[in-house]
Amino acid sequence: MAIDIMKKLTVVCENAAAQRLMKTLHGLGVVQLTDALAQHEAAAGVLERDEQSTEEWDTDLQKLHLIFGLLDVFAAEKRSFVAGLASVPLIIEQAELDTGIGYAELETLYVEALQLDGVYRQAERRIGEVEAQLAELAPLEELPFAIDEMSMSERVRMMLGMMRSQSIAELAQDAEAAKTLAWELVVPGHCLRKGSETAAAEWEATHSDEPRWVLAAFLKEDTEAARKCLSSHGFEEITLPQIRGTVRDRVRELNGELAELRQSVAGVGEKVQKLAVNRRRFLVLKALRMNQRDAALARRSCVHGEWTHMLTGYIRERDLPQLTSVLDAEFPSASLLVEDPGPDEDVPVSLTVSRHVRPVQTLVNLFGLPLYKSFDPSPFLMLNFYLFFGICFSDLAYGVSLVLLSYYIMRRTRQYEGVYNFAKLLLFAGFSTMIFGMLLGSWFGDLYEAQYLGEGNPMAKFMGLVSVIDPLEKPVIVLLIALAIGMVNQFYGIALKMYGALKNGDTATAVFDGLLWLIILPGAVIVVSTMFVALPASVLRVGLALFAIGALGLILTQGRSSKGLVARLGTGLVSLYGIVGSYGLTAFIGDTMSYCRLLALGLTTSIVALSFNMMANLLRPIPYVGIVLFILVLIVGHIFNFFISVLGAFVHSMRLIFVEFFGRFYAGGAKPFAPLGFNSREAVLKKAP
Amino acid sequence: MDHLVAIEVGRGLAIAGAGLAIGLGCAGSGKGIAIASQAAAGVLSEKPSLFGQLLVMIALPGTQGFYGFITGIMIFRKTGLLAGEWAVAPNTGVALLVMGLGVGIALYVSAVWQGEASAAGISLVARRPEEAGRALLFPAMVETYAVVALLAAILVIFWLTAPGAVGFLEQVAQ
Repeated sequence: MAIDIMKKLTVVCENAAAQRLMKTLHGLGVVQLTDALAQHEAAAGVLERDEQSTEEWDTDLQKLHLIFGLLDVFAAEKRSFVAGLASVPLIIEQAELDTGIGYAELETLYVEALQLDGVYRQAERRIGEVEAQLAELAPLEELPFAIDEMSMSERVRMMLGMMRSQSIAELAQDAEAAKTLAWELVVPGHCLRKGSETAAAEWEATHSDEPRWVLAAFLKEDTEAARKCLSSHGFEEITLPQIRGTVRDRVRELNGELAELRQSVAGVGEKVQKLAVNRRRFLVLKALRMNQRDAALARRSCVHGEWTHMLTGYIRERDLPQLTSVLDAEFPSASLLVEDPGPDEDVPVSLTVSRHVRPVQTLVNLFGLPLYKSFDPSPFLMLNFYLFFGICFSDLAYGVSLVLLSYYIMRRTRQYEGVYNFAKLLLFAGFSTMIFGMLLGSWFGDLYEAQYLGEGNPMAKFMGLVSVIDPLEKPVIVLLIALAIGMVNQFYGIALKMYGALKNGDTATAVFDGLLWLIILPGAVIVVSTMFVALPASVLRVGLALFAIGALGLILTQGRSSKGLVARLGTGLVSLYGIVGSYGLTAFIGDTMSYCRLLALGLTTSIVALSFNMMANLLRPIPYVGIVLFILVLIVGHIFNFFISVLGAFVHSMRLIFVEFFGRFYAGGAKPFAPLGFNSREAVLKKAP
Repeated sequence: MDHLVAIEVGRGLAIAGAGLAIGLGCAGSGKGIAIASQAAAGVLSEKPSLFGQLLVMIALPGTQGFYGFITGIMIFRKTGLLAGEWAVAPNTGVALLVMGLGVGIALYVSAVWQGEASAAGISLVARRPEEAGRALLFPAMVETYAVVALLAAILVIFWLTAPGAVGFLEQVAQ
């Protein structure tokens, strides 16, 4: 239950065995390769890097990319809302890899997909063009004459435009205009409809205030004068499309083409649906090719000479016997060199924890893995995370619901390690929620009260027996408890810092940056407490003594890395405040105050719950449907509160762990150990039974 | 001031304070969620598999609305509105009004900035999905101050409305 001990290895074999060796290591999945030339700089001029092409895999991946692009458009995978919340890796069986899509079959399917993709893209492009044309023609659809006829005359020019009624009246009075041009009003659809005279009259009656179409005609040589004249009367020219016949005919033509194109796209969709039958096989092939590409890339970190091939990497100490026996059996001529990693080396980290600790390891993974020379904090944050979560969520019924929901998810996701562990984390957090729900007297808020379930109901009796304090009635006491938990947690964090330092043999850090704070801080707490509560004089004396000893020690030691006595003492003095040094009184106050969120979040859960109870109860007196509405509002309200509160409880508990607790002793950021092998974030090869 | 008029004024001010806390809190949450949603929608168009991780980031600025709601409910509850027998002196009413305004502003501003922090976290998750845990931490840091405001509001409401506290019914009657 700790950080696995890692060893550095170098394997040298004859060139002929290199390919087989890589395959073997890939199958074993216990070695992470590193850059061999970086490990053995002396070999730089002698050995060359393995040049491994990934073109073969990249080509297949590109083909699959095109196929998945088509599937996403026409046969997108249907996933439920809940399934969409967590992405899980593809679990693949060995048989699927053995009988998967081969090169020839992929090529056939790709050619088919490529052809369908071509048809689809061409149709989509044309659909876009046609729709743009239709949008352009739409305002002119009622134009009653063929567009091409307007430009047939050699001597006469015609111009269509829009004018307001007022401007039309002024144009009619303009004698100069009458000499230059002839014009008439165009009624939409006038020539297209039968009985057009009546239609035109109706149109004019109902559209008298709108801008009107005006068709002007003039001699070619009068073009400039006519334009000027029309412009002076507010004539806005309409650029006519370059089409033959009427706009309506063209629109009909384009609509016909659009229908054909859509039919063609639908045809592509049907064929893609058939292609989608192979979706899983495509996914398996994608996982395989990605893995092969990664293996080829890893191979580039190996080097070779004329006769020999060399690879370097890391291996867990516990996997070493397995590797040794395989090398002895299958590569007798290979030589294996095993070393301990250097003190400043950036060693990849692998954690091995018990199944009970594994859920909280999820949090450590989220924050970042511990550095190789430090220690795994997972076991040390179990108690406080569940404690924080329980107080923040604190409701017996919600706790039971969370336990049941988490258990259900665990049952459904046993094969997906990440989701399973997260569900297990919530399962334990649910038990904690139940405990604090009982202690703080919350069951669906206050639903057990007499006004909801009647006098003397069993739930009220039970809650009366188990509840210790109601934060709604005594918030100050609960606040003080939350702050006390915060102080203890900070002391715990400092103690873990000492543990980490002692583990590395750094006694100075353990004493000066750990123990001294564990002396001064309780002393400061006692001294400050005397301002609010009467404490015996002996306790105050102890507090003052602790504070003085701690302060003196810190002043003398916190500036130990500074040069000169004055600088050392000055730094030590300032470190008490907290700007420099390993901690500080202000930082301690800030960190401790942050735990007041435990009360705030706990109250949030309770108050929102009891608000829904109250709202539901207001509906209860309604005749006939009252009880139904009462139950309905309760169900909807509490489901809502459950999810919003579980989110708040998780995020804020996580924050207290990451910021206030980890801040005292933990620095994550190590690279995870990633051995050669099939498994990745996207796909996992199912182990043989 | 006449006793009954004083109570009416006190009531009105207290309700206004609750209204400001609820209104500003909800307005801030709405805006914060909109900011985060816009960022998430862009990411989801390219990476739909991140939906679960992004949903949490979107929901985070939503809590301020609840904090405002809780502040309002606490005012109603502790001043006796829900029980139908309430009386608030004008000075208590003024205190609750200003407290409601202060809490409301804190909730509004923190929700909007939490939305911005969530959007930043979302863009981090889009590039590096393995950083989802740390990305969640940024908006959670902003929310601290909304939590502090809520807690301060709850404590102030308790102290202001406790029997024998400033300007409650007994003092008004005297």
